Amino acid sequence: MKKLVYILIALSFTSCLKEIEAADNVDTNIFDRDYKGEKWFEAEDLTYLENEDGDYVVRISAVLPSENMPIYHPSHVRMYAHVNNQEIGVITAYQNSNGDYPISIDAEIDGSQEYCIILGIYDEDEEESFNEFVDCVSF
Amino acid sequence: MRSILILTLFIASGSLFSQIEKQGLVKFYIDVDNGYFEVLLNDTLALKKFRDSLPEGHYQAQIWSPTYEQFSTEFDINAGEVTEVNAKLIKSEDYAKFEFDYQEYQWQFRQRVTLPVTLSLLSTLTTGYLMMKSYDTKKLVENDILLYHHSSDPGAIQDVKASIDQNNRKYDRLRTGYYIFGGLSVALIGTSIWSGIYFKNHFTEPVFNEDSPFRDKFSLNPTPYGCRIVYKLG
Repeated sequence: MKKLVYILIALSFTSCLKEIEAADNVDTNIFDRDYKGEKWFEAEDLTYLENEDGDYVVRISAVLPSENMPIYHPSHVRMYAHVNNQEIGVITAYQNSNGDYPISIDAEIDGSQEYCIILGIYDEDEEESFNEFVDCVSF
Repeated sequence: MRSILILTLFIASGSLFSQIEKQGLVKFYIDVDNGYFEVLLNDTLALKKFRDSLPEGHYQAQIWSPTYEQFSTEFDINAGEVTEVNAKLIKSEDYAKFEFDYQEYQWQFRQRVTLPVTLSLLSTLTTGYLMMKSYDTKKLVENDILLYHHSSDPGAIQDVKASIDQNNRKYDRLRTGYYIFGGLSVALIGTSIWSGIYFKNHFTEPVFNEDSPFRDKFSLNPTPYGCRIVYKLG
């Protein structure tokens, strides 16, 4: 009988049946519609250039760092983009050799000194974007 | 230490007993529920069989069976005749008291040992079951969390999150049950130990002495191969 008591007490104290805190924090994946994390991309640079049609445009460079991605890195990420008040549409960022996803967006020049991009993850099944964030870059 | 002296005489067929003349047969019809009785004849010879051949004469018989009061009677043996001795023994008061005491003892045993131990066992088994189910569910939740952090499919992520939510709530219920039953088991085991010690210190199992009152008498035990006379010295 005493052995049974010792076994039970040992089980009570050695058990790891604690609350799973990570279960309450499943909101860190940028592909989760309930994502509660920080901005998941960085706007880096801004340049003027002439495009293939001979028009001058502003090119905004951004990056989606690999550490903001899920553990399994997809080969590409589809996003929906706005630049200032211009709707750019769906863009695709491909993974480079560093594991990051460089983003390049061409927008019409509107005379601003600062260009702000709004990027959201694009769900092709639902045809909508979510987890939209804004980042700005200036000349 | 009682010393027992057994004197056994084997006498072949056609021996001394076959030559005794003027014998009659006695049959004992003794109403007892255990099927066993002993008959002491003239305070000397103890018989342990339901019929026997006896020399002609008058006999005083004392009949005894375990758990019954001793019964006295008399009968005559006539040569060549069969004498039937009927007796209905009554249960002894000591045995009635023993039965009462033993029932009380059993009741106390069930109440103070069987019941707490059974409840402890059930509670412990339930605790073990809840613990195993909790660990299984915890593993499911942890696997789903891992899947969540791996996936880049919004639809799959919604499904995984629903599964995490459902299993995590189940896990919380199971581990709550585990802690409740674990505490209950410890309390019940403690109660069982205390109750068992109390029972051991306060109750003694009643015993009933079933020794024959004729055990120190000569007994005649005939067999198909002869007969045996036993006398025990206590």
